[in-house]
Amino acid sequence: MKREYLIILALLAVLVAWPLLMGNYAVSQANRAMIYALAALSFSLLAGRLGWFSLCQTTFAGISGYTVAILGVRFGLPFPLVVTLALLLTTLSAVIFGLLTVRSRKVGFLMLTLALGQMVWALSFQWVDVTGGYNGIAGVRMPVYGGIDFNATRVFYVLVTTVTVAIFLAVWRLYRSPFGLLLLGIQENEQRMRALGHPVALARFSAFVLAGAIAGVAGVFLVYDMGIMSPSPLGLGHAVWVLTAAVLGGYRSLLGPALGVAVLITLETLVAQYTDRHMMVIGLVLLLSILLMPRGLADVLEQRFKRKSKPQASATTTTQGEEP
Amino acid sequence: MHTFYFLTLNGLTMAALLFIMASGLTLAFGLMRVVNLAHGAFYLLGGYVGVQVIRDTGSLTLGLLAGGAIALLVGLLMERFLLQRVRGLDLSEALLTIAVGLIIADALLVVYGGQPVSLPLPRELRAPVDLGVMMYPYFRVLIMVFAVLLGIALWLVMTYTRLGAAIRAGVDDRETAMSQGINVPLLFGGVFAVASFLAGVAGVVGTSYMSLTQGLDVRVLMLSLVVIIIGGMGSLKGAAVGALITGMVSSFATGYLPQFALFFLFLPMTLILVFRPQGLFGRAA
Repeated sequence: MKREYLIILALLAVLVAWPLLMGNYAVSQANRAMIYALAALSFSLLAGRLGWFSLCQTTFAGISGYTVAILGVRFGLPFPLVVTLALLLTTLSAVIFGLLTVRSRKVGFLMLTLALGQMVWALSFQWVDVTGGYNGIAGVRMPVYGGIDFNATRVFYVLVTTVTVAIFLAVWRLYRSPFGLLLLGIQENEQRMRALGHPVALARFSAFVLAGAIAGVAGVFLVYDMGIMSPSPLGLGHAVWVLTAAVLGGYRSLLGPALGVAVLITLETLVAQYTDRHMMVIGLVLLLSILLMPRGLADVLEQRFKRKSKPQASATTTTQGEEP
Repeated sequence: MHTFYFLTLNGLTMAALLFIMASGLTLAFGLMRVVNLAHGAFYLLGGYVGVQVIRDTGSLTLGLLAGGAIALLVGLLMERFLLQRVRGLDLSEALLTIAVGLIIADALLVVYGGQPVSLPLPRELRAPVDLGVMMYPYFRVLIMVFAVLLGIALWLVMTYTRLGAAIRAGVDDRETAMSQGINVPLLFGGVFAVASFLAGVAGVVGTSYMSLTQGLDVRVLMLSLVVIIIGGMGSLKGAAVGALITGMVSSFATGYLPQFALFFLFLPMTLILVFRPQGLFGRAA
């Protein structure tokens, strides 16, 4: 309990110190990491609580990004309205996708979200009149309010960090709430939860829509960070990237997905000096994660810590709840 | 009217290809509950190797066999050394196949480069033949014939042979089948090998219709998934009907509404999901 607060305080300290100590490049990398951490959180919310592995969370981010680009650049609507509409439309898409997928399980869900996600990718690619096709829509910029330019890397950092931390804290509360526990219960034993009178289908559906909305927030930041919206963030490559980060970090824990994103971005930066076989690296990381540490880095670290403090506890925690 | 016939024939060709792609995938899924998401990468692998063998030897048959064989080999290795380690954990198996697919596709990009590759066909196979309503390339007619023959062969094996009965028993009730002395793990390996082989062959055949290029693996995977979701996962009949629907919709949408062609491809799937989530011929989970 106490340790948890300590970790959070230490992380907050790092997040505050980062823009003060680091150069522009490191800060912009942190922005990107924060955005992908949100996407990975959205993935992990479904994977860790419900055993639902989704390949369309980046699609929701993409829908949100395209809405921002189209309404902001093409129609020149004001920033608050653009963001509100983007999040509304993303949530609506999540409602529709949720209705289509809520009855599927495990591999069926994975395949469905893959197919649905690729459908939106196809639309973004081929519906040139609206999306600009392959070239996308350029010139997406944050507004300037009261002399503060939100496009400046460090100002953007403050905004992204604040929102990301707030969302992680909210999800932290959610995981401990009765709703969060119900989701875990459904993953563990659906029949029992139903027999106890819990609205199983509604809980699943709500979690899906919530995860979609979180991905929508990531999408808003992503498009402002890139300044351009094109079909590539909706492709399977991005979806698998986020999945890999979440599996690597540990999708069952709150901070696992963020840890996975941080490690994966660092790894990619290091590897980029030697090879440009970007997707092969992702594939290898995913492969090794599943084979060697299916519960992710967060769990490995936690076990190590526990073994030091109370050696007898570690044996019991590793046996429970292997992949459902 | 000419356009209509042309689009219909294109749709049938596409359907034939889709059936060759998806039949193996759906059989493996039905038997093992493993969805091989490296299927598209196997297709690409079979295609590249097949085309190279055809270029080197000039023999289409050798090319088809080589494309099938390389995919079969990689499929068997993946099944033995990776999937068996996480057997029973459906999702881990699926994620492993995604990882393998990424690695294969990226390796192919290194070896064969990003330039589109098409199938070097002898003149007599490329030449159009008269089908009564219009002239149509001979090779495409052959693809349709091949798909129909493949469908009949798979159906005969599944319905009338001991092997087929054993596979069906393994699909229906794994434990009981094993207690009756059926070696289900061996059967699984065999079906997976056949599925991989078909993916590789589809890669060679399909290259006459769509050039091999970067990103095609994902498109092929997506198309195969759409077909088996429509038809019902695990059903051979479903794969045939799903392929027909998808092929036709794809061809006519490309002809009349090119901007939404890919989108329309998913429309039948979405409708099926709303009204019959288990697919046309699938059984409710």
